[in-house]
Amino acid sequence: MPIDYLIRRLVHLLIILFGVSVLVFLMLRMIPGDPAQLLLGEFANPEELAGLRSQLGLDKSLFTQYWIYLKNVLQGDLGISIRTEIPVAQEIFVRLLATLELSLAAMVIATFLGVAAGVISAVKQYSIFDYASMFLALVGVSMPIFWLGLMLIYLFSVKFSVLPMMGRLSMGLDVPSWSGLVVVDSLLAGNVPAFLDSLKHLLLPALTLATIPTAIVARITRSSMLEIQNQDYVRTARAKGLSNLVVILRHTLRNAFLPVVTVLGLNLGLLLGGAVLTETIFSWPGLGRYVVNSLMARDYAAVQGCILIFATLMVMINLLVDFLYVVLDPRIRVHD
Amino acid sequence: MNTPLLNIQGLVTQFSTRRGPVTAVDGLDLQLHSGQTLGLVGESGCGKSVAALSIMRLLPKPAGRVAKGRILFEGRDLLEVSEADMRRVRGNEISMIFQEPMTSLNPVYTVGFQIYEALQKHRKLSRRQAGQEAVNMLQLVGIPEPAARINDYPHQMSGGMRQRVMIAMALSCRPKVMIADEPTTALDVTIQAQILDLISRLKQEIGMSVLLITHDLGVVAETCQQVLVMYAGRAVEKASAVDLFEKPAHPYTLGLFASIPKVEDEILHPISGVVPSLYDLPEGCAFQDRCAYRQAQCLKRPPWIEISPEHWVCCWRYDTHHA
Amino acid sequence: METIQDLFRNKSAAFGLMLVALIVFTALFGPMLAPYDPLIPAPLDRLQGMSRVHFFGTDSLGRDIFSRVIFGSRISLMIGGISVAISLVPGTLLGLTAGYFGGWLDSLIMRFMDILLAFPAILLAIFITAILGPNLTNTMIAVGIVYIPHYARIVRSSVLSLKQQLFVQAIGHLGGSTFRILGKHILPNSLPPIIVYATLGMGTAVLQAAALGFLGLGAQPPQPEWGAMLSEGRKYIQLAPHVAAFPGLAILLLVLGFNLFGDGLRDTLDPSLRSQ
Ligand SMILES: Nc1ncnc2c1ncn2[C@@H]1O[C@H](COP(=O)(O)OP(=O)(O)O)[C@@H](O)[C@H]1O
Ligand SMILES: [Mg+2]
Repeated sequence: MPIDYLIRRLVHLLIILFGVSVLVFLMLRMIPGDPAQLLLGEFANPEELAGLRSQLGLDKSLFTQYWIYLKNVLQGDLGISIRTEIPVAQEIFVRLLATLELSLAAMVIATFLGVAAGVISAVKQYSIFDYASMFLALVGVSMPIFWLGLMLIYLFSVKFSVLPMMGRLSMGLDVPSWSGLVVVDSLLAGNVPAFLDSLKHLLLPALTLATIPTAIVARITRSSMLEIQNQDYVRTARAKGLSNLVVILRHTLRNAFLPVVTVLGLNLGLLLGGAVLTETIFSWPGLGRYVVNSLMARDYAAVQGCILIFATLMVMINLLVDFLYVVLDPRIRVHD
Repeated sequence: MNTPLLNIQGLVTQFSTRRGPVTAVDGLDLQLHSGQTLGLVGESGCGKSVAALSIMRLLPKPAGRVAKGRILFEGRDLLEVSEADMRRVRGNEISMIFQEPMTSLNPVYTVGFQIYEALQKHRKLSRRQAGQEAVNMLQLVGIPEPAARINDYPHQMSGGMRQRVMIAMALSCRPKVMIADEPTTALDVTIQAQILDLISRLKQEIGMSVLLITHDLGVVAETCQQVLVMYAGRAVEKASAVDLFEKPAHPYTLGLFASIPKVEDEILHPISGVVPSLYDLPEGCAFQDRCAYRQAQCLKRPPWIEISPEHWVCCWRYDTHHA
Repeated sequence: METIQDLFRNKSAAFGLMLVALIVFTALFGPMLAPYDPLIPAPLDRLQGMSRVHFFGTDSLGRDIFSRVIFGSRISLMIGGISVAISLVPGTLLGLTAGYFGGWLDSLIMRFMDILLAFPAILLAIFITAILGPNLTNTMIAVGIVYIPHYARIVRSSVLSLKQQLFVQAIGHLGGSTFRILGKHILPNSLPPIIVYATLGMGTAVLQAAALGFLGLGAQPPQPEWGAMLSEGRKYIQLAPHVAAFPGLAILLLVLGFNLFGDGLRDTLDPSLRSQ
């Protein structure tokens, strides 16, 4: 059943991705204006325009156009950026890694901080800590993170000048790009100053991006822990003489983690969406900032590529969450 | 008689609730001697589980607490020992199994691990030894192919099998006392008998004492030497099983016997009326509103009266001074 | 009645309601409360700090930020209300249809909803605004469209569970028309989750619209929209952090109000949703 289940999910996700590609394709065709005109500028002559149109396939039927586009996408060809004239796929790949670094850092913060706060709140229900952290969590889910980011910049970069305002690495430092994650690469290269510098650059954006997920994880962990704490098997664990910590971590948190994983998966969109804002504020050279800038510049090939990549990421991570769920819950995994 | 292994004196356990405090166990005295099985009997809601959880110090926190009394185990008052010492008692010297085998095992761990966990905590065994011992325990409780079933998850087992696992877990450290809180209530009749047999057999084998909680006098007849009948948080009658079955004395006990369906006589005679709410117990005897032998004195707390050697009943009916 | 009492006993819900009420009050009486015109530049007063004359200071054109924040409350409340209506109405209809009729219609609708949900919300909103053109109206439309699937899912699942219940089946057997059953029995019974979600959704919509404004895709200058004000404040973060600070704080308070109130509503109206 788990294999069946995963295959079913996979097919479902492929259908979704297909739908996404159709939707993006159609929506871009709805944008007012002629792409050829856009590319060549206002003063292009009619022959040139017609030439470019047929070169871009714009004179073919919508169906044929989509078919060509789909074939290209499947071959990894996302078109050429009109701004840089570099293949969009290349542009995206570099930036994707920057976004990945930021998102992973935020995810780590959200998981550890959120789970810790949720667990302590549940164990010490109705304590000052519980009230305080749950109020903070509510403030967290209500946070306009673009404002929080600005305030952090003002506080730590302008007022106290302890952390950099933007970018991933200070000028003059050089790190090989093996994994594309500067923090990891500088560490692998044994370049301590660069490692510390990249961490400093990462801190504020990662905190900003982590705010909402941390708050959500803390809330869900608490409520899930409270529910599990009353289960019979937790009492059994205590009756065995296990220590408090083992009972909480092994027999409560481990079970309470299932809904947390689900919610993390469901809120992935928030994380990726948050990346768009965070990267804009901190001039983080990632995909989020790239997509906004491409939109402003009407670089539609780039926009289309980015959105496809974002949707694919969402869909793939959802599959990963399903998989994790199967791993975590033996009731799904094992069957007779 | 020699000193009891477990000696509960004047136990009072209370819960604070929205509607104010309730006294779920009110002045319970109970003696469990080594090698014996004592049946704690009473309708549901009369405080049996709360009494058991008080012994284990596993009352739901923060609502429940022991307000008064002593729980002497081998001379130590369990209510006085530190939490760390209590953890060395739980699962090691006194262990407990519960009514609901379906929900009492953690669904995300194998049954083997859940037994192993107790062994590792209390007995200094290597990983391999503890693993082997877990298999032995499954064998001991009569689970076929124990080496294979050790890797099963609880949901792959039936209720009866899970209760066997619970027993294996409870007995893995060879405790001196096992508290079994309605261990068969949730099971089919045929399985019930098997589990009771298993408990009796293992009691002999391990040489432990058993506090068997049940609302079913039939279960008591099969397994217990001593019986204590509870009503609304208080003990009302104590006797050997033989005496209790031959000469039940308290009107409540009589009522319990009358409500057992007999083969010749299919009609049930449940005790009329309902268990009174713990929030407004009547003054004096808690059973008075349902009692056929009610008299004026019942408005005062009845005394304990020894109607024959070692057969005690808490009822005005047997008060020779006044009658 | 009891529900309403419960709600007021719930302190955080009451606090949330207070925050929202405060901002609604500000929006209603804005012109009377605001000491200055929110739109007219005063070049001589540029980027002044907080003072007794300008409580929140002035922006780069010398406009009083306090007055602009007050007027911004109208825009934000309007955004919240209209966006939620735009998601709520089609979302509810789609969810009712999918849940009640089931079968291929259900699959078709819900697959389409899944496709919309595959986009990070803000990205889809950005994309839609880019297509429609960046302005306030289109922001509301975009944010509205993005959250349609959420309502569709909620309504659908509550319809499915209601359909199981006997009374709807009984009415079906009595030969009630589909519309009657949907309108008179199913819709009213699935209202509690919709109300809860719509309240929480107000907060989300305000936040998303402000984000679009911040990115320059929403309300355009000189409108005193909080997100757009923040975007302007960003340029002066080193010199005059107050320009960004106050509009952001206003967003936070309004969203917090909706979230507190929505949480309280959920706890009282629909305890089954509590764990989500
Ligand atoms: N967690 C609790 N909170 C409040 N009261 C409780 C709680 N648990 C038990 N009680 C009270 O104690 C009484 C006895 O319960 P219990 O010991 O479970 O009965 P039983 O004899 O069926 O095992 C109940 O009727 C109830 O009033
Ligand atoms: Mg019980």
